[in-house]
Amino acid sequence: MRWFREIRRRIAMLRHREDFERELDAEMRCHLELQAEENESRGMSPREARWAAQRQFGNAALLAEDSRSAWGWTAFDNFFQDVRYAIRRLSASKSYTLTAIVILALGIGANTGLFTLMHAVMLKSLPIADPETVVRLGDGDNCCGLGWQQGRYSLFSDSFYKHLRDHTPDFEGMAAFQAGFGRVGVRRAGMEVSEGLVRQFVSGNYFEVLGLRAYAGRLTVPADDQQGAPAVAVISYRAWQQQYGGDPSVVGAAFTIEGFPVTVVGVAPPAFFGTVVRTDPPDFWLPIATEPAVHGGTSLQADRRLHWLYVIGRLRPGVQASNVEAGLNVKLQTWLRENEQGKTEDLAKQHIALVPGGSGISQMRERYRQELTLLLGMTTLVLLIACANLANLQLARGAVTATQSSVRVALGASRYRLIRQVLVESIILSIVGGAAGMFVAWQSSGLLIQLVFRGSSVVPIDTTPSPAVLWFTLGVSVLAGILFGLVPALATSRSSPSSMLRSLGRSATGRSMRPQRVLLVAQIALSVVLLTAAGLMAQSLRNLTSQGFGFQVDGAVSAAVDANFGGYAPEKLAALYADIDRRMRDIPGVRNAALALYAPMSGDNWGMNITLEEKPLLEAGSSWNRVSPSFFDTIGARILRGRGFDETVDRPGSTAVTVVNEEFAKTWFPHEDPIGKRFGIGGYENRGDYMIVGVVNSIRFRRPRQPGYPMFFLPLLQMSPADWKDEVKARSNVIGSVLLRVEGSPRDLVSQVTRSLGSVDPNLTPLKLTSLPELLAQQLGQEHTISALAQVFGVLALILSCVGLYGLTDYSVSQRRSEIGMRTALGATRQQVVLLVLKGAVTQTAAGLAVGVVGSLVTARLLTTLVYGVQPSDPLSIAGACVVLALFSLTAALLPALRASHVDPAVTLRTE
Amino acid sequence: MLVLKTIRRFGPSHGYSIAKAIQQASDEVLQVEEGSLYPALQRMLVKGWVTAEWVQAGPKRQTRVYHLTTLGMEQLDAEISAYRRIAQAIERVIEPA
Repeated sequence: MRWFREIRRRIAMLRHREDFERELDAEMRCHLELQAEENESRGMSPREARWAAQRQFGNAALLAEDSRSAWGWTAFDNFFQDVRYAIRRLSASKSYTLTAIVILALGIGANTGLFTLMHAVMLKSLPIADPETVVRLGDGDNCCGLGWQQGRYSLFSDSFYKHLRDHTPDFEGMAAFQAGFGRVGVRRAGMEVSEGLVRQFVSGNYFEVLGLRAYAGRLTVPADDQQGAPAVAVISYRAWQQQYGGDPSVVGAAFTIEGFPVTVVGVAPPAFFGTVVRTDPPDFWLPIATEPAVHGGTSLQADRRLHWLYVIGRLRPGVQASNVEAGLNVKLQTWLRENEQGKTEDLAKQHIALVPGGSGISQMRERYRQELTLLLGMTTLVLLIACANLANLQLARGAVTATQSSVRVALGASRYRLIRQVLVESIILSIVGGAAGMFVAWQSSGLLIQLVFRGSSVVPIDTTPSPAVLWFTLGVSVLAGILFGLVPALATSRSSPSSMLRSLGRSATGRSMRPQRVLLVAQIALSVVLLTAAGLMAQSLRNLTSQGFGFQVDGAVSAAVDANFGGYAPEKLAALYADIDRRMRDIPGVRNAALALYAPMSGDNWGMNITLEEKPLLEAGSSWNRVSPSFFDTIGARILRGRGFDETVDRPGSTAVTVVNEEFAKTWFPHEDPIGKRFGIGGYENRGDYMIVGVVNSIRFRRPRQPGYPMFFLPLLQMSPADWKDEVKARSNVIGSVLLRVEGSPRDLVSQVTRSLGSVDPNLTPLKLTSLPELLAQQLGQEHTISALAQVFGVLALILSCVGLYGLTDYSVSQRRSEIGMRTALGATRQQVVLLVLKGAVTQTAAGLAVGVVGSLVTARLLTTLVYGVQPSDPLSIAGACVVLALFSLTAALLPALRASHVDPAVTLRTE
Repeated sequence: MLVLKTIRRFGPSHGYSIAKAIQQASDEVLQVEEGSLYPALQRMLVKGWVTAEWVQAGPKRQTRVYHLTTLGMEQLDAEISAYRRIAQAIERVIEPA
């Protein structure tokens, strides 16, 4: 308590500081008077008495200051003095202050902008109750595999989830939700057309565990998640607003979701985008119990060996997470042994990690980690360049104010005080600059997010500055302030008063410009590194987009569709597909049309084990696709051997044929002609199912970065009657995409395609029409973003170092004005003067380039995994960066040089 | 310590009288700058060992009078005993000579 009272007293003293000072003064005066009176009574003259009293008392001013320091506020006082003084000085030189703030705003803004993004993507909590108490079972980023062999175990089957939920009392609640989910056709009862919206299956207690309350109506409860319970759904606030205009009658209304009738019972809270962070968050949440009814025989829920759910939970207070984790893993091992067949060592590898789950599950986090780190490195470099730049500016200014600081030193200011003064000034500057940078970042983050979330319907990210962003900016600002203030501060404190005062009134010539030059060289070097990185990213993006994809990207359009054709007879499907094909070809501008299970670049893929007729023991596998006969023509792939599919020959019921890609042929028939060979999906009994009739070139199918892999194509609907009975196999005949080859860019293509597809069958919903170049761009969204940002930062670095070079050259010209005047007077031509000035700039630029090239080579290794089709130490990129930098910096130096050549010798000589 | 002791001995007193009292008590051995008393007093105010109040002293003059607080008493006792210990120790060291 003592210290508390003491602090209270101190604060009281601070608040009534004037009173205390007056009292102290009065007290001391009183002391002196008493002493003087006593002296006088001893027979001194009044004057003598006063003097004697003062002698005895000591230095009153010093003692008063000493007393004040007893209150402990001196440092505080001095600080405010420094701040006031700094503000005065800064407002006195407006152009310097403005330049500095702009430079800082750019440097700090780049960092803040990127941090906002990183924070939003990687660190931010979900808008749920107490996100910090939510844990996730499993830390894998696997979204869509269905097997149990996961290693970092994070996907659960419904039955295993229920087993854990009911047998782990350490959890207050445990909820499960579908990991890989997507668009399905949704139609409100009474409406003609259905739309493609995102649906996710969640456990009945999902919203309870998250602690969410309905915006309208109610959210689902465990009772909804029972076999036989009435089918209900919760709609997201966003979908409610965007699709149905916030119509209150949506609550309680009947909908058909993927052909399945449900009643919407409520609207989720506005900020809630689900627990999986992605660009197309769920529009509807359905209880897991409804899944079998929706998917029929291909249900995920019913099969205890299909792992498709993420699980999160809330631990009871006071429970040790490590104990719970150990318990969960024991349960996992038991469960796997009882329910799965597999090698014991594979089983033993499975492990559940208990990790914080409050920020949701994000593949983005994993995907972007490396790239964001790279960008963070780049923005840090930009900030460093900005700091070096400002340090230079300050040094130049320090030279101007050198006389002033020598006067201060001469008057007894301590070195420490001088350094502090400069630092306070630079920190104030950088905080103002940081505030401006914050504004820049806030305004530009919309742009940034557009880049990152290209082609997505919604951005689950809020860019309003959060406290974390504010703190980050403040921290960066202060750090930057110290960084760029330190060199000038030390330089100032070294000023020797005597030499400065002697030359008072004249310019401070002869001061070494070495620190400035070093800083400039550093700036240029860092810029080279940044520009090289930017060049590399641009080149790798170009490589990715312009590489051979095995098909003609331009002019191809894919319409993703949701077809609920489960249970349709093959004949009905054939008629439907023929109808679609005809309707598509009727649209003006459409040259060719094809139907496919998967479209290229849609990211989807179906891999299966196959058995070759001639090598039945070979453990073979391949990716496959079902397509309509015109598929290869439509996407522009080339048949290398044999033939493609033929509408008239390859019909349901005729010989089952297949076209394999080059990679397939090379992998499974390395030294023979594959035409005529047979293989089948599955085991030995299927070995003769399909006959190879053609080889098509390898198409990059799933991802731009992924080279061709074995793939085979089957004609749609060509299937044995036995296979039609297998619901999973039958589903492969249900198309997922309609592909078009169009001429030019037909107007109204979207609406025409949507209209024609929408009117074919009530169960067919057109989801999204995207051109393949756009699909590709979306697939490469990350690369686009990184490349664009890298270029922005590179240009920023270029601008900053040019400004720096300009400033320094300009400054050195102003310092050498008299020298230049003298030279001109002695007959130097303008050309010679320009060369003289440029010489310095060229030397520094060359030194910077040399250091920068070395730096680029060193950092190149960090980029190895990020670039595509280009060496990180690509000489072309480095040379390009050097050339660009050299050109720009020479231009920047030329301006002051030209100005120098116009120096009038008469004027300079007169002032000398 | 001396300041505290003086206040304890003579009761509430003002700066001048404390200075004089210390000088007299020490037979003018301790001749310090009288002014240095004031920083010391300020420190004690902050620590809460003494409190101060203004009193009328004579027709035209106000002086600040310092009182010892309980906290100040404790502090003084502690310092005196600490001083005694050291003094005794020194005494014992130089005794045999």
